[in-house]
Amino acid sequence: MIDNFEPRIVGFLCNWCSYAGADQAGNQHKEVPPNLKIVRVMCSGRVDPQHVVKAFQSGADGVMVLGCHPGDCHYKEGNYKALRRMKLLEKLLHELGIEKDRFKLDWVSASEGDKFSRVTIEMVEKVKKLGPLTIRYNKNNEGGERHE
Amino acid sequence: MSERIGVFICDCGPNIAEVVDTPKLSEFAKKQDEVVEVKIHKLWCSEGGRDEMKRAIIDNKLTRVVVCACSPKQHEITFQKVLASAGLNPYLMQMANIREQVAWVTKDKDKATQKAISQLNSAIKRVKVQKPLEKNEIECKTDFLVIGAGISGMSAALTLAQKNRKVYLVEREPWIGGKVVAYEDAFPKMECAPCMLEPKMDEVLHNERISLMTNSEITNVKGFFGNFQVQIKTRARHVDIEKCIGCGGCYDVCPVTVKNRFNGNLSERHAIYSAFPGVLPNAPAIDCETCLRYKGEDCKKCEESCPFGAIDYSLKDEYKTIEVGAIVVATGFDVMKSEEVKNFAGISEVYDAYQFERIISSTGPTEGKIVTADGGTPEVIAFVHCAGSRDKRYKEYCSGVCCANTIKLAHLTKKKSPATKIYEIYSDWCLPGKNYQQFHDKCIADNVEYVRNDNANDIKAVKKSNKIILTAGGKNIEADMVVLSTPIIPNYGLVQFNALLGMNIDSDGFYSAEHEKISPANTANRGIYIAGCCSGPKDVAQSVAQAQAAAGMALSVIVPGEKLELEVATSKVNDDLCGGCHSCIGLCPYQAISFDEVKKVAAVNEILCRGCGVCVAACPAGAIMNKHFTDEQIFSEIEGVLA
Repeated sequence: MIDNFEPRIVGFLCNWCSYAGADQAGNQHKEVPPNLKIVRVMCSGRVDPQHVVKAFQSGADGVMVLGCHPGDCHYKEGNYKALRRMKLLEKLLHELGIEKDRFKLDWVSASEGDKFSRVTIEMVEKVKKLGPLTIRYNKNNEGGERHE
Repeated sequence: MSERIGVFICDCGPNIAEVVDTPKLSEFAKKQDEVVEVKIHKLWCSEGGRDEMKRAIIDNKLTRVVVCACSPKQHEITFQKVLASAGLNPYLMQMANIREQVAWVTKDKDKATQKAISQLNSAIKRVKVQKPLEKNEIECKTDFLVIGAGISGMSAALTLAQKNRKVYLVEREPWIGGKVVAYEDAFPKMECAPCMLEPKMDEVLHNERISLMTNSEITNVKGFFGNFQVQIKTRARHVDIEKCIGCGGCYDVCPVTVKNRFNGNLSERHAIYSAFPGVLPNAPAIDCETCLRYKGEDCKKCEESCPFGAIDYSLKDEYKTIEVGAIVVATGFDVMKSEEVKNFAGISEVYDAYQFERIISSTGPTEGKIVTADGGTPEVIAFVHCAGSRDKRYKEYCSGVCCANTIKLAHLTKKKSPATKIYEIYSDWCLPGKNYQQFHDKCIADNVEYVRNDNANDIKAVKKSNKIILTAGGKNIEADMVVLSTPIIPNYGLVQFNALLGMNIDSDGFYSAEHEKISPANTANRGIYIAGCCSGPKDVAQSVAQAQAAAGMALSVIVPGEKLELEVATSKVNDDLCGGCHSCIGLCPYQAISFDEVKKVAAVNEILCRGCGVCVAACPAGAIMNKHFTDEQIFSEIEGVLA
């Protein structure tokens, strides 16, 4: 682990459950690591694998996709679609050399401020252990390039 | 052309300012490209704040606005309204949530300020690529269709039949009243069921705003919310309702006999028939599937017997297409047949609760007399609760109404046949709500013997000579008749019928509501509402409540003289990029995407789309765009938070 390393985590949060869960963490004044930067989407099913890859490319050390619990999706079943998609994406990330713990799909409801706090703290701790992501996409090199 | 962006940073009293260094945010914002105005206010959402924001937009000719404040869930609409009042499209605003998601969750002030800067940066980057969006409206039809004329459908139709409205009420049977018309008494107060039903039926028949179509079925549904085109087939009744007085003189001359489904197949009827005495509309119908004439024979017996010349064999099935704005589905239920409960299958004189309801009814197969197959009075009747219910092998759910119904049947049996010994074999009581427990307590006086047993579906039952021997709760009960309280199940034709509507069906086979708790009468299909037992087991009161709710929901959105307002942030297909792979079509939970066979591309119906974006993420060609959550916008945000 690198001393004082503060990972940058991007969280894609669905509007109806997880974004509201993040607000609820605020309402309850729970701790949420400032490492987490939030991008709101209407549904976890809107998250395109490209968005996750783009986040890693742009400097994220970890990415979270948080949606409604199975069965609770505001749009009936968008979270199931996210689940299927993200399972495939995990394999792709592995192929790219991105460690498993740098990506997390989880469910946080609008009432789960405490869970939001917990999963984000855990995520930051895990990525801290891994250190900075060293593989980055280089615009001039289609194959990508490994650098510090 | 470069934008003129205004950034409005909120202190939120001490809420944000105590943790986040807002002047530092302001300094940051001022350095960003295209930002021409940055202001800090202690409370932008206050009246003074909103006025100041409006003036700043107008005075600085702002083309984009970033509000760096609380959660958009709190005040997005508030600030969108400010933009609109300043003449700016409300979708050209983006909020950075630095209260709930920064100030309130971060202790370290420097870190909080850094995070707030990231979120602000992301909002500035995003707002640059946001597009003005307009609210679309469409004309809509203001008539309604109700499918099913049971207690739910009738209640919905009567609620919908307001001034200037027309309601089509379609019923597949030749009569109205659904299942409730088969009952003589209603639990838990044992009020007279026909007394509550008949005034409703009468109103349905005579309300000039309700167009009742019996003996009819839906054959095609096209269109969508606001503008459905529905084709209805009315099977020829071959009896002129205007001429027929319902004397019944034609029945017995008919040489055909078939089982009467209305009586649970316990009696027979003819090909020209009324299912029970007192049907409404008061006229028989010829069932062409069994009538000899429609099998090629030249039988005219009923025509010859009719003194009023009401029978007309030449009538043809009619198809009619109607245009309606909304549909209420009230297709009702069936009860699981007793043969489906394996431990009782094949044993004679085992009835389901509906069949027994008909046995004790004065219009039923025995005109209300409870008699065994050999014509005698039963010495013992056993009522078995939960048969086929609360068990993974059958239906896992509890129908919630059968305990009270079984108590009712036992109580009526005691009244009609006082010498009969009654057993109720139960595992648990389910008697929720007003008057149910009291009803149970009152009926204990009937001297029914209650036998507690673990699982009705494990009771051993064998027929020995004329007795059915039940082994339950450590007892051997020798019964002459057994009545099974089987679960309420979706109408046997529901799946086939649903091919026309394409609605979501739950794991138990019932229609599922948009949300079971907070929008129980709406469905995922906009403009289609559900009422009664087609969406799950209910008693009469709950069915009527849902029916009236469904009608109210429809009335509230389909208003004569007003247009339907559509979702703004919908998805859109770029025809040039779409490869016609169909991937998106099956994914849409709202059936909003169809395939344009002419252009060979997918097409999103904006009337049905709710803007979830599932299709956008699924499109392998990147051909679908979500208007307020484009890839470009999301990418800008990602770059913004990580810059």
